[in-house]
Amino acid sequence: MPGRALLIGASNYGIGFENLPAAERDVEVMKGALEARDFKVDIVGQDVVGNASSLFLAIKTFCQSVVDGVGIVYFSGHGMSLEDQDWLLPAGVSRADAMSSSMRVSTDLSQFVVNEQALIILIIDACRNPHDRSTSKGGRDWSYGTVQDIDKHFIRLFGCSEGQLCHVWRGGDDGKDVSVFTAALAEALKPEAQTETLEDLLKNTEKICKDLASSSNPRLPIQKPAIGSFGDINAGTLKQFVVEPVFRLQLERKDTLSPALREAFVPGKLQCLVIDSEHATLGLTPNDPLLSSRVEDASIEFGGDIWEAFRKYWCGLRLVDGSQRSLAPAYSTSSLTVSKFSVPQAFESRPTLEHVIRRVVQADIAFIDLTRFEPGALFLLGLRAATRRGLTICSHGQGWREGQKLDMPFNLSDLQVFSHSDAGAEAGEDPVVRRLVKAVEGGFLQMARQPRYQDLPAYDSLRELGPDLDSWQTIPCERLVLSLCSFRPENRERWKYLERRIKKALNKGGVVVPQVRRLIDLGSSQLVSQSLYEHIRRVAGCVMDWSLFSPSTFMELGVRLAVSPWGAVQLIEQNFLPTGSCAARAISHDDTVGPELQQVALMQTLLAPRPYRLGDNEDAFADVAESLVSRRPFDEKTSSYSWIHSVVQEAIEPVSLSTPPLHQTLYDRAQSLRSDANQRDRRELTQALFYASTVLKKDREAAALETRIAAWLYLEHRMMSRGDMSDEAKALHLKLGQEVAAALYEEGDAKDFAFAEAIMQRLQVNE
Amino acid sequence: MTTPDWHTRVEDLHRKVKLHRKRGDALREAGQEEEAAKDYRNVLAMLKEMIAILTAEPSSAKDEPEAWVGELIEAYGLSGGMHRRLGELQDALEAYQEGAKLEEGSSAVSTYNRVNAVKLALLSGAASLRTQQPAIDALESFLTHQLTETQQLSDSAWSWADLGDCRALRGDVSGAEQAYRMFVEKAGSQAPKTTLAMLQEIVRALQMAGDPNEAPVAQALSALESRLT
Repeated sequence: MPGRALLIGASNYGIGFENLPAAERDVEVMKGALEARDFKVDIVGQDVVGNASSLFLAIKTFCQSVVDGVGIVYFSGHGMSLEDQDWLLPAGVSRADAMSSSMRVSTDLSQFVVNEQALIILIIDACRNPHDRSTSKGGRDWSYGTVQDIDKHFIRLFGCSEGQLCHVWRGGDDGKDVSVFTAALAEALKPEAQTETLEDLLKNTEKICKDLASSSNPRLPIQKPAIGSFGDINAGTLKQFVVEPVFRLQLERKDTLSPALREAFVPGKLQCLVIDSEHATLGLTPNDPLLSSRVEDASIEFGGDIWEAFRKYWCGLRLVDGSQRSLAPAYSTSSLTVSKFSVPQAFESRPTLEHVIRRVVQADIAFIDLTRFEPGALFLLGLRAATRRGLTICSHGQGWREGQKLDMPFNLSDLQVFSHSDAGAEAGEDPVVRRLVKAVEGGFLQMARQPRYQDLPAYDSLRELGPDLDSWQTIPCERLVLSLCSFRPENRERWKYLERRIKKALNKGGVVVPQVRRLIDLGSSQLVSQSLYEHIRRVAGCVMDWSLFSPSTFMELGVRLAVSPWGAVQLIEQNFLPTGSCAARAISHDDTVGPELQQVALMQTLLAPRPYRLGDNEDAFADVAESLVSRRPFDEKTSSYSWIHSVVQEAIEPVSLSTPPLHQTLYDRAQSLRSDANQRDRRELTQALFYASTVLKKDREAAALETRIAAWLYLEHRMMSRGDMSDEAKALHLKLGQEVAAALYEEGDAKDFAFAEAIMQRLQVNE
Repeated sequence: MTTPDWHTRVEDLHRKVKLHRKRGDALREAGQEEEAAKDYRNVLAMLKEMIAILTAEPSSAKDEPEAWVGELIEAYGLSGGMHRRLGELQDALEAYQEGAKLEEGSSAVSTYNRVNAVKLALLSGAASLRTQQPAIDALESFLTHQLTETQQLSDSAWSWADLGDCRALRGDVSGAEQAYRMFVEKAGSQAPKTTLAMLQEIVRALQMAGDPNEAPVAQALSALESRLT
């Protein structure tokens, strides 16, 4: 379906505005340019252009009629910034009239976008007078007006940026006046310019504007076309802006979520998850395969080996609902499901992210591509780290191989990272695939051997806070607001600014002595990782700054949103917003800067970080303070800040292991303390560290014996009295009784001997 | 109900063996010799059952020959120890010799039966220090090599005790002391009580037999007693 366009040119104005004869020519130029691109073009009649309500209605009707594909509304005339919004001024309006809202038309058309299949682009060649770009009644510069429905597919394209004006090129078009921006835009739309995406169009137009300005006589000031700054770029529109060939093909929007991702957790299957990085999907490194293709190869070639390792750990383990995980001895292809998606796909919409969170929490194995440590990947890693002890395999591509230098994010410094880069194997078994399989096999084996196995940080630090109330209870906002942000030197000024503003805003909001602290400001002697995750869990007030896109900070955000119903107040300096001067961009294997990372705009839509500017005073942070002190997560049925925690809460139950029975815990503890755990005197080995100390060794052995006695007594007096001892528990009762009695006989004390005899009698009765 | 595999059956028997052996030792310590002997006999019956299970060569043992022969070596060693406690030195020697044959013919790292076969031969008067010297030297050399080369074995307390015994029988006081110290460090806190007991018995036996080479061993024992206590 071809695109459609509505063109508006306003030439004549009332007192206070100069007339713009170029606007009529602008409309003709645009008509030609858009028709050459197969757009169906309508031009608004001058009677409508000169009446604010009629113009508003024409624009609204046009937008609502675009149910599929692209609709362009083009305006050439006067515009002004007023009351935090950018306005189009109909023809005939005087400067005095323009102060009345009924005499102007808002540039925010988001509310008229009818569905997800439609994209409305408003092209504005206006703001011709220095008085119009930031009026005394407007707090924001031209092009900084707000968008009401930020999730709608609506983008504004301004002819100039803040602080600039849209100029006229005198006699520029066959001797006729034409606006610089419109002339450049039309040039950039010519078929030979091969412009396809909006980003291409913006860049080409900017270049042509610059050329026109410098070549005109007299020279004109530079004007740089810009995208609207607040809300124009969101989940859908960034993709349309950067990727979609808006000027070539009609838009196609489809749900790209794989069906496997929607499946519920099935205890009898091995659920495997693969998250590909956005870098990998951009194809920046030739020959570098996707991590998901490596995992697929592994599942095809070594599915049986993976199943066996998985089964050794998981089979028979008891879940919190009382069921035992039952796994077939033999592997079949239906035993293993592999769900895969790329980081941007994870953030396509809230329902999609909810599915992704469930899968991140529930997957038995998660493979995560950490190439270039993308914010979205680290966020998902944080969710995983907070919720699962294992098994998670982290990998890096883009030509990196194990052993080579890799600048790890601060809180992942001890992470084991694998490589999925092309190993150059021409024939035979792919060493990369084999290494991933070995990692899985070894991981499950380690999980079985080590109760405290971890392959990601955070898990234990979030859970083992200590028994005292003071060590685990919530830390209120009045005592501490934790700030998660980059520790890089270039963030120092930004952090100090934020700290001051938020503190002042909190103080105005009633917090007497507000404390806004980063972890390093707390002055604790505790290990950083331990203290960090403890505070992430405990504080009610948490502020997270997206600026600089610190990988560590995004991981911490993932952890925070997973574990805390209090959520986090997220902020971002406006330059870091999509299309901003510091927007997150892909980096290719040779360190050249690539396109913007689509995931950030997608995440921005779902997580809604609040933009700020470094010059804003504390009043601009009043809403931040209000949000911090007013949150009542346990008193609200639904909240915008705790939905991720709610999804995690619901997802974690079906995969949570039941706490082992007390006797088993005691027995395992004793086994790790004793010197003769294998029952063979002749193979006596002590596990005690610094075993040369007899005192230390005796202390451990005594603790081991007393712990075994406690386990046996629990079985004897608690389990046996309930009459529901399993065969397993009965066997342990016998084994423990024999071991304990033997150890008591060895003690050489009459009371111990008597106790051993009593145990022997009980064992004989039960045999 | 399925029959447990040989691993499980042997494991169960080991626990019972240990239980009754410790009970027997406790009763003997308390002066109840007859009761103690009953437990020791009990243990011997269990070890006989264990050896029967193992020598029946269950098919699973063929798949794990090292584990299987290791258990058999241990069973003979334990039998030797029980016979010795009961004063049945010839039976003890025979059990150790059976175990020693298996040790020599396998890749198992144990030397317990071999060292005890030597010690018991001396203890029972069946051999003199001179006739046993080649065997003692060979064992000392083997253990020194094993404990140096096999890192996993270096954690095994009783290998160090065996080495200490061999070095003491050679009159090497400082070498024996070093080995015994390693044993004391690596073994459970109860084990060192028995370290020198058998050596004391051997010295007494050598003195009674008028063994001409007894003096260096007695001197070594005396030095070790003062250094290790």
